[in-house]
Amino acid sequence: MNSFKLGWSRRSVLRAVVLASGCALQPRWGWATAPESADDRRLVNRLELWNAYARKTRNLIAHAAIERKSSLLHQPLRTSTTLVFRAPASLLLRDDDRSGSTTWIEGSTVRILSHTEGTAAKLVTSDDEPAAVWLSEVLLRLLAGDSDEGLRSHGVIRVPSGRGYRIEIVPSTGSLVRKIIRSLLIDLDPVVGAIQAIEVAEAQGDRWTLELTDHRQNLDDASIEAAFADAAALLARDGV
Amino acid sequence: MLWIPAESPATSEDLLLAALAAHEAMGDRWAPIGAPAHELAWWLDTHALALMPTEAHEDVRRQLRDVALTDAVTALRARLSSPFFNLVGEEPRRDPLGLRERAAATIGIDGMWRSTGARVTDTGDLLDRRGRALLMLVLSESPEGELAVLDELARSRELGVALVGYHRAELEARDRVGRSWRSAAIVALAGLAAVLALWRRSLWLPLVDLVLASGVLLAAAGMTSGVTAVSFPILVALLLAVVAAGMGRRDPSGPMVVVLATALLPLWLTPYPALRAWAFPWFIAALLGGFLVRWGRRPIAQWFGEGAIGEGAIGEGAIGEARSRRPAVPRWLAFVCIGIAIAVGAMAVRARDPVVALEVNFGPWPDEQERFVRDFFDPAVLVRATSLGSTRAEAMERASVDARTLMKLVPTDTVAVSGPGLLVLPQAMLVSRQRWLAELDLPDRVARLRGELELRGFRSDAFGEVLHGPSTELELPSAAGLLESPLVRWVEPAIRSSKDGHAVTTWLDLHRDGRPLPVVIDDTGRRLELRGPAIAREQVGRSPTSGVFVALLAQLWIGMLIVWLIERDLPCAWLAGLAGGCTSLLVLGALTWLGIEGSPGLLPALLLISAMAMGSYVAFARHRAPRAPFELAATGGIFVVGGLALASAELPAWQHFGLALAAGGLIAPWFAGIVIPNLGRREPRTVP
Repeated sequence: MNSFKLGWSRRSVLRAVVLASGCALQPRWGWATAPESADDRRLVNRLELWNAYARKTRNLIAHAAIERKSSLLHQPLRTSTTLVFRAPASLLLRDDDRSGSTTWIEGSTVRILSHTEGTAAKLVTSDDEPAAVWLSEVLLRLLAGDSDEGLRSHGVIRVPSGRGYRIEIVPSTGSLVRKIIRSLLIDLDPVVGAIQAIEVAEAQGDRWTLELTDHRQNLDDASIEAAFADAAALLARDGV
Repeated sequence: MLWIPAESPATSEDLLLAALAAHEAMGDRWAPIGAPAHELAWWLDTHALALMPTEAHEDVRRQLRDVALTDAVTALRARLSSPFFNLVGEEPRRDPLGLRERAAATIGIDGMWRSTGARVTDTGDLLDRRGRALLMLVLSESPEGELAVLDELARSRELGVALVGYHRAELEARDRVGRSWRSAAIVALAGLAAVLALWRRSLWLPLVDLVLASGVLLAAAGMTSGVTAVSFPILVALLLAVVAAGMGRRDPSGPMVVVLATALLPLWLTPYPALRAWAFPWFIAALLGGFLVRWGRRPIAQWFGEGAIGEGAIGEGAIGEARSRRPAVPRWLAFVCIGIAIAVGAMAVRARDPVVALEVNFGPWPDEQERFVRDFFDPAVLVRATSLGSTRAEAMERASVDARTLMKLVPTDTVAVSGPGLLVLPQAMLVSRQRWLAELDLPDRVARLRGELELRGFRSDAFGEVLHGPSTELELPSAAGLLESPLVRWVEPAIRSSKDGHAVTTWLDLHRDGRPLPVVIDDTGRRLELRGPAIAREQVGRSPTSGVFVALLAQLWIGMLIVWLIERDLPCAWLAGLAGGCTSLLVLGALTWLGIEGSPGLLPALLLISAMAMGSYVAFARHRAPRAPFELAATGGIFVVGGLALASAELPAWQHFGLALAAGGLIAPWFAGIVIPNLGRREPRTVP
């Protein structure tokens, strides 16, 4: 009773105890986490959504529409393509047009095979072109699923402004890749998490867009192998 | 070399910016290592067709036909659908037909550095394949100033900087030799003084010996290249030889002095210039030093006031004759010992490759030097071809012929060829190329290409660089043109001028597997002169006198001849040779057992040990003098002490040399004093 007379009411003592324990516990034991920004929460949500679909992918076939805007062309180039992916590191982008081309990524090797006979194929291996290696790695990770850290090791990941479930990957500032690729934009299905579109913005002004529809996931191996066998036939023809 | 340390936030962009700032700060002292990308692209854009070799002409003609042009443009459009179209090194705006790419591959200018994946930057520096390290060429005899400039630039961008390459290796070697030789010399002198003081039972005589020997050493160092990584162990060995020649009691040991003096004469037969330089200076120095110490020390010591020195005082002690009697070893046991020595030596020689280049083992290099070799190139596999001419243009034309001859070695015998000679044509070829280009009717082909591009939806104006070029009058890739082009900054360091004329360098990057390079003969039947560490190694390998055995046999023969001439006793000469040969074989075995790799640098030590064993046998053991075992032990002790002093040094090459001497000092007394004398004829046990 005497203590209360000295100026310490019961309420003030309780308040002081709660405040002191709160201050002591928060930073040291991590009871409270740092407040997340709205952008961080949106990015985490999108990465979870993307990974939920991609991690389940053993193989994938989808129809794709490709558009390239380039200063070399009078009009943007539009082609119809088939995307065939086999986890963990095989990807085909096969133009439906007989005068088109097939892009085949197999691990760290990238090949561009022309459907027209007599034109040499282009081959890039992991040591040759850093930007090609970067893009092939990112495309494979996007389709096969990966940890957030795995994706972050390729540059800065952020949610671009505007509507839609989108993620943007920007190569590290000052890297050799950044001199060639400005950014990579991924559009996700808001319900399933499947990739709906990928857009590559190049430093010299070209813009390449891939729009995916009619996703068919985890098919029997035979239909996937048939697509890769076609590409292997093209490869054998070119002798690369 | 500039690089990004693991914990640094710096990027490849920072490396390139730091390099640009360094170029400005260094001015003329910086030069491009590779042909700068833009300038090279410009040169190839202008001269791609002219530089195509004759064998490719038909293919080029086919590539410029209507059908081929249509196919090329169709394929270009087909590749546009790939996301990698602009990422695979293709430059459709400048080279839609791939002619420049093909010319670069055909003439081989893009092959250098391919083994490590390094690439030439726009300014001509080398960037490693991960973009984490940058190599630049500094033209300076003492690059410390440039290094300070780079250090300041690098620190502000959190980059690492280091001097690497041949110059670094040379500076590092000089530094390590400078750090090590004084302490090793002091330890050797102190050890020798202690052994001699114990042996002589005097302080003055050892000091006089050492002062006289050191004087001889200084004279020998003056006669040769001074204190270097190769010469210092030989100088220490000379000190030991001079002191050992002065061992013994009353009788001057002529054979010991002369055998030791001739010990290194066989080095003259070897293909190693650094060792050959020692053959005759050693002979003169060891001969003079031996006789000086032998007969000069007593008068000098007496002059200093050591009056107590008398005949009896030198080496006389309380050791009784009975204790000094040499142990009698049965002859069969002596033969067994000799057999063991030969077997051990044979196994040791089989276990190693005796034919190797003279490379001083300096121990591990700093991390930066290893990184330089891993990320950029290994200077040990670069070979230099020199083309001479009375004028710069003439030398460059000669280089163009030589470079094309060398290109025939790619890819079987060498990885790549690089040099300004690849970018020009000799005068005789220019005329025929001009005729061929006229036949191609390039303006017409360009008009056709323009039509095809428009037809397939391309904007032909976007390809302006290639479409406008060939329609104007063609320039040809002449030597004079290259010397006045923007590439001249890269070309200049490859030209060396003297009063005799000018020389242009072409580089070859050899395979890392050490496959030999064939002799290169040009179309006029002239043999191209190639230089470099790999060529030196090959020449050593081809030399019949590069083996250890040739030099050892030569030393044994010379030693035996001298013993026979002095002693007039042929069996004695044979036995001395046997002592020397067995000792050196056992030392070789001991080195193998210690895990020391064979090197020509050890050859002087082996020759000296062999000579020491021969001389010891003739001087001390043969006559069964009462104090012979002690004289032998003291002579061996000198080598053990000197060898251990060298073994305490920082450089592995010196450590190995020292261990060889020490092993010889331990083994020689046994063979020269016990094993071999028991093979000789039985003499009465009397003291001469």
